[in-house]
Amino acid sequence: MEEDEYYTENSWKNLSLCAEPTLYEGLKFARDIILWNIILRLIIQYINPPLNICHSLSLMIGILLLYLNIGQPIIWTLGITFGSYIFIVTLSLVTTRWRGLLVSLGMVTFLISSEIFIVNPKMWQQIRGIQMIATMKIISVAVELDRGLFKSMLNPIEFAGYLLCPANSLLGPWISFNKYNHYLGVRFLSFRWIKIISINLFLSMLYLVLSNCVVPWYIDDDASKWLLAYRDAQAFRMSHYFVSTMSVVSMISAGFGLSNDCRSEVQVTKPYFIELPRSLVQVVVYWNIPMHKWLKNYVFKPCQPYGQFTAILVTYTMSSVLHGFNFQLSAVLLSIGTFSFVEYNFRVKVAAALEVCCLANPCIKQCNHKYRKGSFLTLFVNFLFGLITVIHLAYLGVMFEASFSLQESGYSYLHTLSKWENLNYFSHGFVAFLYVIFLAL
Amino acid sequence: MKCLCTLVVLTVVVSCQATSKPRRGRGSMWWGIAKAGEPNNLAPMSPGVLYMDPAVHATLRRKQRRLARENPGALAAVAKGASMAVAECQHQFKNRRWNCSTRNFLRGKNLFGKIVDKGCRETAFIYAITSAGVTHAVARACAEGSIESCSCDYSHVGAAPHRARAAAASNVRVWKWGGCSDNIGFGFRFSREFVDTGERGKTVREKMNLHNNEAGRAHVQTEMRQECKCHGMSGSCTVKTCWMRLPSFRSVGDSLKDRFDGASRVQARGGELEAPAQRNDAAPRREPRRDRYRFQLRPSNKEHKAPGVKDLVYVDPSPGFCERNPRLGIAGTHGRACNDSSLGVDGCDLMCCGRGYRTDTMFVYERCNCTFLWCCEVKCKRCHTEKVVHTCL
Repeated sequence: MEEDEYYTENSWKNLSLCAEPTLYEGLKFARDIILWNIILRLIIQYINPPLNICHSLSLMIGILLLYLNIGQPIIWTLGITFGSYIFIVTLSLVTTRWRGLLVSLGMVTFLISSEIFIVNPKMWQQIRGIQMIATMKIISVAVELDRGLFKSMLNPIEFAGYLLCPANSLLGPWISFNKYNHYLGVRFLSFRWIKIISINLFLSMLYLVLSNCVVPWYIDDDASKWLLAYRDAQAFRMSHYFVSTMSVVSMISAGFGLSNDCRSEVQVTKPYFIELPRSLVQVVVYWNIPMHKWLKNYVFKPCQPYGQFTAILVTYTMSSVLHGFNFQLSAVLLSIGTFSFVEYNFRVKVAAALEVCCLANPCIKQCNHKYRKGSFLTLFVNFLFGLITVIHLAYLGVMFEASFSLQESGYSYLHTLSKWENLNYFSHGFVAFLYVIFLAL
Repeated sequence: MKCLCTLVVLTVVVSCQATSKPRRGRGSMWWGIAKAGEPNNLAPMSPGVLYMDPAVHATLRRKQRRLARENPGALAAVAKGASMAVAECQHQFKNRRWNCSTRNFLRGKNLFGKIVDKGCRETAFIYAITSAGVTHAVARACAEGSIESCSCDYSHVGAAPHRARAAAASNVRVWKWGGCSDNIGFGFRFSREFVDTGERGKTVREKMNLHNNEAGRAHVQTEMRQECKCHGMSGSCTVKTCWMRLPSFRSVGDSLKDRFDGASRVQARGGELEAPAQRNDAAPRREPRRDRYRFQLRPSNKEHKAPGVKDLVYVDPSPGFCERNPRLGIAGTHGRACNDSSLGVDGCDLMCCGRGYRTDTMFVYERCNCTFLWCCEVKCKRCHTEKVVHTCL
């Protein structure tokens, strides 16, 4: 008995053993990003070169930062940049109305074929996020060209500077070309700037340590499978918050997303609304706000004339294609799509039936329901829906917990199905059940 | 006065070693430190400085004392490692005739008794587990920052870990790792310097000790895991973060026990193959001291293959552990508890060597129906139970 107690290890010691190297690598990653972005900002603001020089600075520092982080595979990003520029210019000779659609199709085909035929899986996992951001930028440029938002065709320096901008080429977030152009001209430099960077850096490191060292251990391995699923999904969400906050750090240190009086305008994710969700619809919105805006603006809206359902379907398909042609992500995203669709409509009916303010999005001003925000029934119904969302999140997020080799080289569909089978396809069944009730109501 | 005492004890120890134990390797007296590692013997006021019974200190060789002086904090880790090793050894062997019992070490005697004078399997295990214990504890202390001369050396970060792992599988000695992993490197080097002092590798017995010490270290080293995690947009892998995880000492003990069961006997006399690197006469020997690890023992059965780095080796067959044997320091199995329903070594037939056993019924109070209360309490009831105990005659 005494012997066994000898092996119970102090969890704080374990935490420090994990946290120290984790923080070391996290800070090393942050160091490069912050350093080069600050250099870019200082040059822009103090030397104040002409706009084209600014673009080429962004281009050069962007390439350098990408090379420092991913090394050789940078040729893929450079290739996609120059290839797409030539493609857009050629298309412009032929049409001025269909560039958005054609570029989207071309980029999607390129992404899928490069994933399936050309790039090895490990490298693809490494550059997937970067290619995704670049693709979003390219498509947004093409669509905005069609909408006539630019006076003339972008010159190659502008285009490449926008695509490879060190502030958001690595981790995002997506910003439009006009925003990018605007932020290059912002003048702020004050002490607040350092403060905002430090706060976000601190937060991102906190999320990193939570993701690597705290969340995976705070529920014991022999707990029930739903608790474990919750834990693993939460570790993945923490990792997402880390990446998102880190992307804010990189934006802010380049001075992007700051107003002239040095207020931060950039927000990528809202952990509070995801950890304690009101509805799956909100989770989808707050998971990655810029990405959500992008999808709404460049995919959903152009598709709206073809019907609500088609638009939703195309949006989720586009979103999963952007993430790579991958069973797991497609399955997760399409599931989220159907879950939130059912949830949204179900809540509309429940709200009407019970006269309760329990829509997927909170009523902002006008609300004709009998039971308002503060009433007990409202709180109770919303709590129930929130609980269901937490369960859905655990169910959907659990697949991102995997052995490192799997994380590194991508997930197979067997992995996904085995994880869901372990949870008896609960959420899918539950949503189907809700849908039946919805039809009956 | 104290000095004089120390000196006297030291001379006694040295003369003891020089005269009466010619066959045993000379580097095993430090094991006594295991009993000095209890917290009440450590002065909590001055971390890193270990107050120790002068008699314990005297069991250390001059080089070991120098190492302890040069690496403040290391001696406490060694003590912890040694007692961890003893506990693990006793856990692994609790159901066997030889149960890894320890003696009072202070009178110039060996902690594990005279059994270590014989180069048998049990001795092989003792050497391996103690060496592993020191490696583990020192690496751990290093990571925790309680050894001042060692710190996380981050200069190797970026060295391809996969290649290092492949190398580790083929030959542990070229193993190298980046990041905070150098803790294990420090533990490994420290263990070699500290544990292997006095084993010159000249006689077969010394070679056996060296081989088993190395085997213990190799087990700690290869079971160390690197854990990594990917971060990036939607589960991609833009950033990787990795950290090292030392194996639990229980798993080291388990795998060493496996090797104990499959230990290979090596030729007792003059039976060794020269390592190929040494055979090459043209190459100048840069570092003659490292050469003591370059040997290959030859299995006593020619058809068996030569022992690998992680295998345990022994020279002599094990003595019977049934009867008391003062000459070998064996207590015998008289009075040991046994399990009457087991057919294994812990079963009463084997454990009592056919002498028969006594069955007693006892009433004991013990903790039962324990429930874990979050967080972090365990609540138990006290139960009065009847227990049947079998004891060897």
